[in-house]
Amino acid sequence: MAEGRALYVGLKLLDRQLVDRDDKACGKVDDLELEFSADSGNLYVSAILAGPGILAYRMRRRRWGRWWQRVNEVMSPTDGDPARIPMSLVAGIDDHVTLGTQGGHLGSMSLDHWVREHVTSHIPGSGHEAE
Amino acid sequence: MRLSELLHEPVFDADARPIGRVHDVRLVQDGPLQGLAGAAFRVDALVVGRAGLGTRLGFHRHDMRGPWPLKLLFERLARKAHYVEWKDVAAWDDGRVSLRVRVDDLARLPDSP
Repeated sequence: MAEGRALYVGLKLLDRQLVDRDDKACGKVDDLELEFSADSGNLYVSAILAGPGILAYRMRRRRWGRWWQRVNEVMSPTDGDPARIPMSLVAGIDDHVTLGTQGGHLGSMSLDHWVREHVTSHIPGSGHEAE
Repeated sequence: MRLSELLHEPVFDADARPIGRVHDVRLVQDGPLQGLAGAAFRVDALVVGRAGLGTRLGFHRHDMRGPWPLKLLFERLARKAHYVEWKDVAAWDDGRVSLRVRVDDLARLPDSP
């Protein structure tokens, strides 16, 4: 069997822009979740991790990273780990990572939503389009 | 588990000799079908040692031709990097990666097209 596409994580995946199906930027690839297959024993990438605290955790600021992730979980309207984007939602990996879903509901955007809802929207004139 | 928990982990060969830290991970897309992008990405190999820095910068690729002093430098460094196939990993726990092979039996970093 021919070998599948190969890539080095540090060069081709980490820190790449996440783009949703509407071509809107929705975070960066901060880390990857790995999972052992019970059948083959191989180690597979099961999800992309993106959002507040993930990069800090990767950069060895583990306590700070966990704290930020907990804050993100509390702020997120969705159940489960908001930073987790299953690989089944990834439509393509090129110069950027394209998702086959809308990015607005992703946990990587929860801080943006919170700031928009609680801070930006209260600034006079914030409801107007930019000229 | 996370990739970041594997990156920078110290690696020891079958004789418990330290050979460096994990600097990059090679994935191959040949796993079971996972969704829109096709097959799942499997962890195929680890790039171990600081000499593997060139892979993070793309200097291992054939189409990366310059600047030539850097290309030359990273190609020479890459000869000192260790390329550990995942099948040679005996255990990954307690903040270390243990191999089932000796450092002399490890392959060199392959060129990437």
